[in-house]
Amino acid sequence: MVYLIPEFLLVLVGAVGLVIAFAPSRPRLRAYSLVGGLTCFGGAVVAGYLAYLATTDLGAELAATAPGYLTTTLALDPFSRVFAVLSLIVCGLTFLLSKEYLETRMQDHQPELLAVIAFAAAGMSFLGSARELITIWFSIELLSVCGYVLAAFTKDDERSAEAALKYFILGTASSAFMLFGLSYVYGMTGRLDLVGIMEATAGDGIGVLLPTAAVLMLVGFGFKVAMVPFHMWCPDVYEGAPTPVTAFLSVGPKLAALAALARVFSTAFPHEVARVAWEGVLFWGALITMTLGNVVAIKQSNIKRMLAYSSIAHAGYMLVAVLVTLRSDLALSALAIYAFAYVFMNLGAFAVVTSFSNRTGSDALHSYNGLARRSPYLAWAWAFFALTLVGLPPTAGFLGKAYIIMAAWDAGATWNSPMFWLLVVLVLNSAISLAYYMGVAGRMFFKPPAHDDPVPVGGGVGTAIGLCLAGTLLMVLAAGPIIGAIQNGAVFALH
Amino acid sequence: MSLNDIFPETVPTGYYLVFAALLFCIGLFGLVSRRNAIGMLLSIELMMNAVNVNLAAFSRSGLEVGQIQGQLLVVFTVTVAVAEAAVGLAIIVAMFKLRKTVNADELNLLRG
Amino acid sequence: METLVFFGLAVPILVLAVVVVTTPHILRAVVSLFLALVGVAGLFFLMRAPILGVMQLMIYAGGVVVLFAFAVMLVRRVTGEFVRQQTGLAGPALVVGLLFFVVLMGIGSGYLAGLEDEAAAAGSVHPVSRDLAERLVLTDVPEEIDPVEDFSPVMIRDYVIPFEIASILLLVAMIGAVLVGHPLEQKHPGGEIEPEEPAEEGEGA
Repeated sequence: MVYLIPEFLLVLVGAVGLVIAFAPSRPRLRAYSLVGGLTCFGGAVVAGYLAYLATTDLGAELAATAPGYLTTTLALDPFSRVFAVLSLIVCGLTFLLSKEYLETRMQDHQPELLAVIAFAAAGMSFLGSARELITIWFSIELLSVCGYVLAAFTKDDERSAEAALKYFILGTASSAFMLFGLSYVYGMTGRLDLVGIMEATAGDGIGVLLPTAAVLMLVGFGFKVAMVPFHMWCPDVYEGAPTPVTAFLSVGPKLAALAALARVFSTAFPHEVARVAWEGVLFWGALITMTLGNVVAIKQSNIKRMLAYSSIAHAGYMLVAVLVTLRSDLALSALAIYAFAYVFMNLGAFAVVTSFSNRTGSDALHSYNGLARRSPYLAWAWAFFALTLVGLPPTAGFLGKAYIIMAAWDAGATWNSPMFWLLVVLVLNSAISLAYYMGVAGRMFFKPPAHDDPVPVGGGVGTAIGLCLAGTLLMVLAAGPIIGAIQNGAVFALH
Repeated sequence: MSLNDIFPETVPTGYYLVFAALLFCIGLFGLVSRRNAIGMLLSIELMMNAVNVNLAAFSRSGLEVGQIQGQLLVVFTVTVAVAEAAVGLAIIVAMFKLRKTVNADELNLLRG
Repeated sequence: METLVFFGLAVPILVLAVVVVTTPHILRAVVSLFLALVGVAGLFFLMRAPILGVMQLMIYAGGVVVLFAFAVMLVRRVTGEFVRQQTGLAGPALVVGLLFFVVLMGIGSGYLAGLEDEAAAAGSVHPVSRDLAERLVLTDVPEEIDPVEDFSPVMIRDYVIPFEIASILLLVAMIGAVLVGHPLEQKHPGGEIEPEEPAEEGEGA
């Protein structure tokens, strides 16, 4: 039971939001976003303690005596609790950065939007710890349905409705494919838990049907992760959805799906035939995803579309960590570190965008000209987030990329091996990404503004930016404990 | 091959699988060919049903452990399909109110 | 006998499915889908999965299709004209559908043939594969398992967490459908719902 405190908190926050949606007074939004955000950060501390606990003898004892309904469906390992920390942080930061947007752009249904975000964060946390296909698929669906609702939230906006419709049609189609693959996996093994599938497929008798089913399942995950060629929805939805929702969608479903991807494929399909298939798909997927994301991002004129392609590129980097899960003990730590870094830097960048569009109503790149004079805080914050998104030392982004490269190296990326060239592409891509992140920063600092009206920063979103800045800087300190927790609790496959 | 081989006493699981694959592919055809969002959604419902038939067939002929789990998954699938249909149709209706169309190729506000 | 019933259900279902994806009249498509879903429910009964059959009839055929019908009517009221289903891209779509089917069947049958070869060559195959091969062709349904009685303990005891996730999912879907489908004029949350909305509300049950 104790293990589920983070999920309970998220569901509770969401439920409270639905109840106070009926309260008529205005301060409810301020109170809810503040209290909800604080609850999430408090919950993150608890979840962090649980992650630590899972590495200790006491944690092992608790896991061994956990009731059946927990052990059949959820993995009680440190990785899952580290992921719960991440979900709570994402939820808390989104609460804070949404407040001003909701006040200025949405007249009604404000608490409902935050409540749905909290439910989606709960789904994210469940997905990070599920060890069995029903739970995995269900958590994905919870995240998806929340995503459709969130994207459609400003329903008097045509762009929002269009984004939601595209997201919905492609999302349900991809989940149908995933489920079709899943049904074959179930049919061949008679099992739905990942370990059971692994045990049932050990040996030579399993032919080509299993890899086919695995690749079909990959379609569903690929859609959530926005892996090329399942990325088509991403720029449209990111542009059309309300900006705080875009911020959430760019981190929540993506990271949760990556974590589940790592768990599903390394636990359930570690044997030769299936493994060759999914590792091959992921290798080329990662390579093309990061390259396409970065190259197309350069040409964008809307900052939300640019960040959408940038998030596709980051998914490509993280897929490298997923790819080497079976070959390197470092891979999961690298994935977790990069996920944390990505949350802080990407939510930070989106917080800047939200704050700017709250006041100006524009997402066009040229409207950012001369922002340094109009709002130094936003401009400097962007410059910093851009540095860390590129991955320059000594920031969190650098740390994340360094760990991914270390993990890939550890997995045997010797000179001239395919993995080596994947890493070369990764580094080259980071260099390409410098162009567009710094291009925006250049506009802010060196181009003359159209007018000199200051751009005030709201309290909620300003705090979110500050927290993200602190997060990116303090990752250096947090990396050690995170790796320690994941490495010491080496029960990834078995629990 | 006698008539009894084609029409055995009980239905072989393979029959259900071929049937489900056909149903899935008809749904896939509809998904690609329809321009109307409601039509696409109807096609997706067909695909989901194909999955359900697959799961139930595998569950019927499954191992001891698998027996109920497959059926359980069908129950959950139906739940999700209902939830998705509710949300999706709400989105479609909202879209209609704004644009008077739900043809996919007329959705072109969001372009780079 | 059972196989005859199977064909008697399967062939009409497939025909109806083709109607669903090709007819230009959207209400005809919805009605065909309804009949196809009833047919699938019949298949569930044939598979001795009565729970699924009943669920299929009540939730799918009874709920989802009604939802579709409501949506079509609503849309018709808004646009003031009957919605016609247009089919573009039929050629490529046919290629995609057929290709997927052929690949799937090829892999499936190749898989079974591979198993037989292997069994002939080595004299034994991996137990799981042999099980599977037997299960694909043989049809002994163990009688001792009562699907109705064995169902609920598994669902409520072992799978209580997905069960709870389902409740959150349905809650979100209900809220989402009400909020998104809500008429634009109405500014206050929690107000009364327009008469044509209740189809979207019935899902929480």
